[in-house]
Amino acid sequence: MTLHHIITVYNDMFNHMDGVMQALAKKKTQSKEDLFFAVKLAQQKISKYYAEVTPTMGMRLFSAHILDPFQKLRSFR
Amino acid sequence: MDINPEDEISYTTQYQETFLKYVENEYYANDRRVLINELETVLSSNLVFCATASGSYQSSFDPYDLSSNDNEYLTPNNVAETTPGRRDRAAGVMTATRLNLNSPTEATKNWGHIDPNLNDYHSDPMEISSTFWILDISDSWRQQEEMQSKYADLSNVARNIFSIIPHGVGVEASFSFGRDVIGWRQSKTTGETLREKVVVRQFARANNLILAGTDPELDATNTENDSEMKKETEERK
Repeated sequence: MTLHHIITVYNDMFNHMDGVMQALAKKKTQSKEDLFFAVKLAQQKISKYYAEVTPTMGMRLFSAHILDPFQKLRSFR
Repeated sequence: MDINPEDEISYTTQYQETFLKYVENEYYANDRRVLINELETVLSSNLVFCATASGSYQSSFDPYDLSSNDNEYLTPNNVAETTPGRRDRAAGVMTATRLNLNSPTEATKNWGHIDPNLNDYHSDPMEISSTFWILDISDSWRQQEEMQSKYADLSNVARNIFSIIPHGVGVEASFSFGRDVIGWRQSKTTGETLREKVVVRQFARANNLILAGTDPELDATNTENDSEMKKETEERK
């Protein structure tokens, strides 16, 4: 069963990308600027998927996450 | 789902209430109809009604846009579908859900713990990852059911939700396709080239490999990654 991991995985990916973009924001090396641009595009793509997933089966995702006895509402605090 | 992100104070409460609504609407809608029917009966009898304060159907909060079907819920046509026992069970589930959400999370003693000071790079990665996945929540809910605990009724809801399989072959194949396009030894391929390769390969796959003729470069089954692996194998020999 992996349904309850989806919200966590999305959160982790967004956090990771935010961290990478924050670290690369002021870098001037070409390769790092390219990486920053790639991560930015990836974040936009994931945001698009997340926006498409949540209206269709969002309540099931959130319910699965809340019914995880090791997480419950902790992620939403 | 009507969650207001600006209301940070009651953010958890909003999710909790929405989840309770979901359980009530999704699993015990028939019971709700009966409750409303009883309410109408009581009101029409000019009796003092005092037990509807906890009925969430009175709330203006409507995450599933059920307002258009209010007539269906307010018509006394489903009384025979629900027994008192089922109604009690619905109330029990709602109580169990509230108790469960307000109770602390279970101890994560079974979580796979990797000591950061221990640079054991030779340990089996599968063994490490298996400890991560040891949190089998289905077992947790099954235990609740078998032990007849106060959350036993909620385990039915959990079983229904967790039986949904969120992944499929198509998505996993797409990830494998990425490694086929970008091999381990390609570091200078431009984005435009990668885009063209993906388009050509997808087109070939979609059209039953019509591009795959005698030219191995266009054969989507013979990927560059496979070629690299073959070369490495030959070199070792």
